Amino acid sequence: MSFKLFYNIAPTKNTISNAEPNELSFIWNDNDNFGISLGRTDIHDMFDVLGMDYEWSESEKDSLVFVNVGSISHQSERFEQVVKETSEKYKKAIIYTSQEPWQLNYIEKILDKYENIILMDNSVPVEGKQLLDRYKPFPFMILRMLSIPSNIMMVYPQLNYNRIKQKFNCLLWNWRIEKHICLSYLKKKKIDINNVITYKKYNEDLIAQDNVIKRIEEFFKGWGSEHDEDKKQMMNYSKKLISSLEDLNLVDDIKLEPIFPSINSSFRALPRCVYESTAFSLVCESFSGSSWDFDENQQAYFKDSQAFITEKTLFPLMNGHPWLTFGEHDFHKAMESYGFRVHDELFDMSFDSETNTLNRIEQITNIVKDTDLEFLSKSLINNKSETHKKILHNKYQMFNKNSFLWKKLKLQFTKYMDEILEL
Amino acid sequence: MTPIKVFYNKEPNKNIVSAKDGADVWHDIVLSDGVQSDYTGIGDILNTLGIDFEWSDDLKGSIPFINVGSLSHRSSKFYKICEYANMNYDKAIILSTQEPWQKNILDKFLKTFDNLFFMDCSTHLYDAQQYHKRYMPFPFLLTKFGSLKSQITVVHPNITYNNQIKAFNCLMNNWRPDKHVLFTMLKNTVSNFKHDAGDLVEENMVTYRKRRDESTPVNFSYLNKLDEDREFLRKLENGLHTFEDLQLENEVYLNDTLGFMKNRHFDCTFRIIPEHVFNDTYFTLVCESFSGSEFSKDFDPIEQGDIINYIDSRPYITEKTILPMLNGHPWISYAEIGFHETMKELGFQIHDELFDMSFDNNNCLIERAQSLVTMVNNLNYENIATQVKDYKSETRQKILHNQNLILNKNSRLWIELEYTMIKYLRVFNEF
Repeated sequence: MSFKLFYNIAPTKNTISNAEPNELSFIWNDNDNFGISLGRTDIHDMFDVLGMDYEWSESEKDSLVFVNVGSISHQSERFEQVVKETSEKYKKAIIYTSQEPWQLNYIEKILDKYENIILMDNSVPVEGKQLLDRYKPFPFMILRMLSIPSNIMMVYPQLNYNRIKQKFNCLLWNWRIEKHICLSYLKKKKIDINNVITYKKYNEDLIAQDNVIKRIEEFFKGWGSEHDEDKKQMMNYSKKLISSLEDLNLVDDIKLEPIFPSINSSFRALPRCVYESTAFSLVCESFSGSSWDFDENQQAYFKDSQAFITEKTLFPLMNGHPWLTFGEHDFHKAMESYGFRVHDELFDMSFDSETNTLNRIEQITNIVKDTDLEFLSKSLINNKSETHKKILHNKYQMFNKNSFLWKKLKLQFTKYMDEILEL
Repeated sequence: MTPIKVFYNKEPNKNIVSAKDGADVWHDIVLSDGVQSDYTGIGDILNTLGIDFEWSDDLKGSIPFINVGSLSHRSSKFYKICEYANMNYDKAIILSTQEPWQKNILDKFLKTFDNLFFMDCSTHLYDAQQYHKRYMPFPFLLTKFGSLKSQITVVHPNITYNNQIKAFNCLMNNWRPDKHVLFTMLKNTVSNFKHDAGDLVEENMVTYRKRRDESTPVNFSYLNKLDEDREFLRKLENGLHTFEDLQLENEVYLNDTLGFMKNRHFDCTFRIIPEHVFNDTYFTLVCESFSGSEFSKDFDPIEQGDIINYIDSRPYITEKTILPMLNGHPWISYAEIGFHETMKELGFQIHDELFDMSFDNNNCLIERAQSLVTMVNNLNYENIATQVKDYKSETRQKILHNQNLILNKNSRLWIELEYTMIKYLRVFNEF
């Protein structure tokens, strides 16, 4: 079946303007070399990667109206304005982003207010059920990784596993609270030493130090530091680090030169040594803020979307590097649900279902500390090891267009489109 | 369907033969500890095609792909690899995902080694027909564009269609006789694009690279009809000494200060053409590679025209044509006879709304180039400007169609390629 994608300006262009005057586009990879938005959308790139048939149409009838809001914050007035105008203009429309996840409380407000609006963000749908008919989370980041127009990807076809000298890499570029907490635990346990770690200080021009400290306190309190002496100590340590930590860069990086904004905004490459000198990637994933609760058996369940999957985990996986992720709870379970195999032959994964984020990072960093570098190296050097088989399997899932992963994604997306057309 | 088994003798993803044997595979790099990676790309190809496969170190029921890469099929090392495969395996595929081979040489190999199959980087015959059961041409360069592990591909999703300052771009880095022919013609044709113009090279965005190896004489003899055009032959020969390198002003390169690819420009695994090349010109004049596919040309009394019948493979399709298409730029190719017709058969739409394609079936290389250059020089550029600017024009519709054909994983092109490869592998397994 061929879906019709609506356009009001031209095919491949967004149905709304992507930038205010003198602003950069909120759609990635949409600025020319002078930083001016060219008004593109990326929904057709997603259809292409999924292998779904589509055609462009300027008739709203029977067409899917995608309004791409990219990285506009869903908590902003601008977002609300776009939704309002879209609701007034079209019979029904999809407010869409392949870039960001949104939170349930905002989603519910929007859906309550605008009956003809469907929301589709970059989140991982809950297995087998949908909380709200008009909310369609979809893991677009997986698609983006394979879309040539969306990224410039540098993937090493094969790594040399004979050069491992350090246990792990942990790339924490761009300040976020989870990244800071992660580094705090690594430093407190002294496992940051002799490993490949990057870190970027919070942006002093945008946030006052007091506010950052306050956020850390709130974060720790939210996960029980008031009733736990160890957590309290860690909070104080983490707060102290705010003023003492400096940027940590990779010694060498890969750049596309000369620097053109239009091609550098989506350039994804890491030096080979990041993977070849370390035994695994300790990933600090993005946190989407998925809502969850406990059922009557005290089992945690996600309400709107599962743990968030981004390029942070997918990139090492595509490069054939073992990975362990500090993400939202049940992150590794979410990866398994898409056909990936987790490295439970290397690491005890019992932390994965731990819903308390601080307990989870405590357990992960213990695992990292206790895992023997020699054991990891041996698993990687032996090309018949389970680790190798998993590396091969995961690459197959990612790169083979008929793998379980891609069949599942296509099925899910087709179901969404059919449901939207029937609304 | 049960998964295809791909044989390995060292470990999965490693080539059966190595660089020491002469294999010259693009991704087979010398690692930082001095060891050759021995990488073979066959897994990447099967993944891109969506073919289910698994690696096996048991020869029974599995396919040994012996990847020779760019090793010349005329070399003694190539012959030795075939001898090795012939003696060590019940049957095997000698593979190159990088180069096309010529029929006269292949025929000798097919005759000498009756248990070997030959799979090169050429375009398969219509409907996956085979002129020889053990010869399996396949347009691997197309699949490389679908494989992130095979190459870094840069596509500019936002090229503009309203700021052109030149008629066309024609990028001819690396010297080859065909490029030299086209460049000589462009250099000796006064541009009609504007008044008081210079030649077509000066007035357009043309690159050229002088021939570096002057130790062996250039043989233009295969370019038939030259006997009748002594003056053009003289121009070709003079050009060998007088033409200078012409490069783009703004090249893009990868700066990897630590890695193996310091300041790496466009190459076989880094496919990029700067965006301004497309923004600044109306179309890309492609000088394609020539694989030497054999064909017969017969007069069809019903059609009252010549019919081209390809014998071993169809015209060669490379990144030279694929990249402009991916970037959404109109294109026309100086290539092997019937190139555009072949592109049509694969599902691409050619720009016959902009260009007179009658040159495509001329079997003389020189006349084909001459007709093409004359046609390009007499185009109505006002019409072309209107066409490319208007997103509703036939040209822009074709641009979208061609991009979709390459990028959509389930397009007619990918279905055909998957079918062709599966058919080939079935023929091998049943042999």
